[in-house]
Amino acid sequence: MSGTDRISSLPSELIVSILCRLPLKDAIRTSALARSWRHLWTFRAGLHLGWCGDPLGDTRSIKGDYPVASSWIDRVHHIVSSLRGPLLHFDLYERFCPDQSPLLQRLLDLLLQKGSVQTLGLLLPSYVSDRVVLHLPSFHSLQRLALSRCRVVLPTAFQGLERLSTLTLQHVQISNDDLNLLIHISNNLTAFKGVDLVASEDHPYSIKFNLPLLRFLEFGINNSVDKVEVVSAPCLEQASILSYTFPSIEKVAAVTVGSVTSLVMVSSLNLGLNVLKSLSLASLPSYFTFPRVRRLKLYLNVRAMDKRTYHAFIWLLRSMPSLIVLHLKLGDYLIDTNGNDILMRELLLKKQDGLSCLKQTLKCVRIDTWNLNHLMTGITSVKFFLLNARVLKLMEVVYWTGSEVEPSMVEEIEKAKVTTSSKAKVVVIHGIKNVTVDVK
Amino acid sequence: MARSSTENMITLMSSDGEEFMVTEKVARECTTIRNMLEDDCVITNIPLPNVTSDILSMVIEYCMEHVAAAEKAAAETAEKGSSSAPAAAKANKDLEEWDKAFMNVDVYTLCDLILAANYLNVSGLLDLTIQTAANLIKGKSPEQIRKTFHIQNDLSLEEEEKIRSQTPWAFEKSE
Repeated sequence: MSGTDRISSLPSELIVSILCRLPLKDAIRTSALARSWRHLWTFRAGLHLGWCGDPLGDTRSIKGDYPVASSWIDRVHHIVSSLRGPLLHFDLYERFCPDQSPLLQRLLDLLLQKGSVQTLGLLLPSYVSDRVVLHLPSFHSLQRLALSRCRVVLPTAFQGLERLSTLTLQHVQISNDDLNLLIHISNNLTAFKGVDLVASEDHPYSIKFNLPLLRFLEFGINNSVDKVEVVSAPCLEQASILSYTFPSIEKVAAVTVGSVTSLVMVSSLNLGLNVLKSLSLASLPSYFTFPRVRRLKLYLNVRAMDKRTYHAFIWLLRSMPSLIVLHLKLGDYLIDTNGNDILMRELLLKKQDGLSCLKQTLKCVRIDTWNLNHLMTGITSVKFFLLNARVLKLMEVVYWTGSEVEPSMVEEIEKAKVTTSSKAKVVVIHGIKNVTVDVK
Repeated sequence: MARSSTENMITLMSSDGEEFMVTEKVARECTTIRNMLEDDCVITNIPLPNVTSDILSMVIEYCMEHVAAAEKAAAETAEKGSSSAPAAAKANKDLEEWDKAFMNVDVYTLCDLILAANYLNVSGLLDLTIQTAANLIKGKSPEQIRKTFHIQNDLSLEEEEKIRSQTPWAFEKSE
C-alpha cells in the first residue's frame, strides 16, 4: 500500500489547502506532476507578492536597482489571469516608477474583473517625486484596502466601495475632493487610518467624518491639513488625531471632535498638541464630554505650551470623567524664552477642584519626557498630578537623556511626594537603560 | 446538565468494526463528534465508517495527548494562580516535539490522517498533517515530488514541456 499514490486521490480542496501552505513558486511547480494536478494551484485564494511576500524569480531590471522589471509585472499578470478559484486576498510589495502606472493600472483592472477580491494591499516604496498614479476602480467586493506611497485618483464615475470596512492610506497623494468622496461614500467603514497624506498644493485638506459605523480613527495632522471635523461617529471607540511632524509646524489645523451625542463610545483617545490647541474653550460648549474615555494619550511640547494649551488641557481632564490612564508624551526640544514657563508653573501648581476624574478615577499617569529639567515636562507636571489626583495608584516618570537615573531627580520627586502627601507608587524609569527606581 | 464530562465514556467504532473506548473529553476534540453529542446527548456508540482502526487509533492518540497537555497546563495555572511563562513555553515546546515525532509516518498514512482529521474535524491535527505534507513538497522538483508521493506522471513529454514553458521561472533551481 505504501507504494501507491494516495495524495492524488485526496479531495481536491484538501490538496488545495496543502498548496496554499507553499510558496507560490512551489505551488506552481506541482502543475507539472500529473494531469490531475495541472490546475490545482490556481485555486489559491490569496497572493502575497513582492519583496516581503512570494518572490517570483528575479524582480529587478538591473540587479539591486529599481524599478521592478516589466517582465515581473507580466508574471504577476499571468498568475492572476491563471487563477480559477475566487481570489480573495491580494498584496503587492514592489517598487514601481511612474512610467509603469499603466502596467499597474492594468493589473488593478484585472483584479477588478475577478470580482472576488476582499482585501487589497499595494505597498509601493518610492520617492515623493516619482509615485505611481492609481485610478481606483469601484471594487464592489472589497472589504479592506491598504495603499501606501502612491498617488490615488478617483475616476469621474467612481461609485464607491460599498463593502469597504477598513481603509488605510499611508504616504498617499490624494486630492481633498477625492479623499472626502472616498470617506463619504464608504458608509460601512469601521476603521480608517490616514497618515502622511499629501493634498494638492492649493487645496489643503478639509475633512469631514460622518461615518455611522466607524470604530477606529487615526488621522495624521500635517501641513496638508487645514481642518478636520468628526461630525458624527456614534460608534467611535478609539481615536488618534496626531501630528507626526515636529513642533516646527506653525500652522495649527482646526480640529473639531464631534458633538456630545456622537462620540459617547470613545474609550481611548490620542491627541497631539496642535489638535489640543485648536480645542479651545471658546470653540466647544462647556458641557461637552467624553464620558467613556478611559485612556488618554497626549503629545505636548514646551515651546507651544501656552495658556491656551493649558486651558485646553484642563478642559480635556474635565470632559473625561471616567479617565483611568493618562499618558503624557512631552517633547521639550526647545527652551521657552517668552516667560510661558513661569506662568505655566504657577497655573499647574494650583489645586484643581471640580475635576471628577482627578478625584475619583485617574489611577495611572505616565509622563514620558526627554529631559526632566524643563517646565511642564519637568517636576511641575509630576507635582500637578501628585497634588490633584486623589486616587492615583501609579505614577511613572520615564526619561530618555543622560546615562542613568539621576539621584537629584529622584530626590526632587521624593520631595514633591512628601509635600503633596500623595500615596501613589512613584517610579522613575530610564527609558534607554530600562532601569526602574522606586521613589520612597 | 451538570454531569461530569470527563467521566462519560464513548465508544467509537472504526470502519473495520473495531471499538475504541474513549472519554467524552477526548472524543470532543473531534468537532464532528462534539456536534453529534450536542445534538443527541444520550449517544454513547458512534460508528465511523470512514476511518479504519489503525488511523482511528492514531487520531485518538493525538487527541489524548493534546487533552492531557491542556489539562496539565490548566492545573498548573489553577495551582499557582497564574502560569509561569517559561514553564508554559517548555510545555508548548514538548508538545511540538511530540507532534513532530507523531508525524514520522509514511506518506500513505499521512494522507489517511489528513482525510480522517478533515472528516472528524480535528483542527489541530488537520493543520499539522497539511503542513507536514506541504513541507514534503517544498523546494522539490516535480520528479522528486512524484517519487515522494508515488505519483504516476500521465502527461506526455510535449504536455509537460508546455506546462513548464508557461512559467519557466517557477521551475528554475532556487538557490
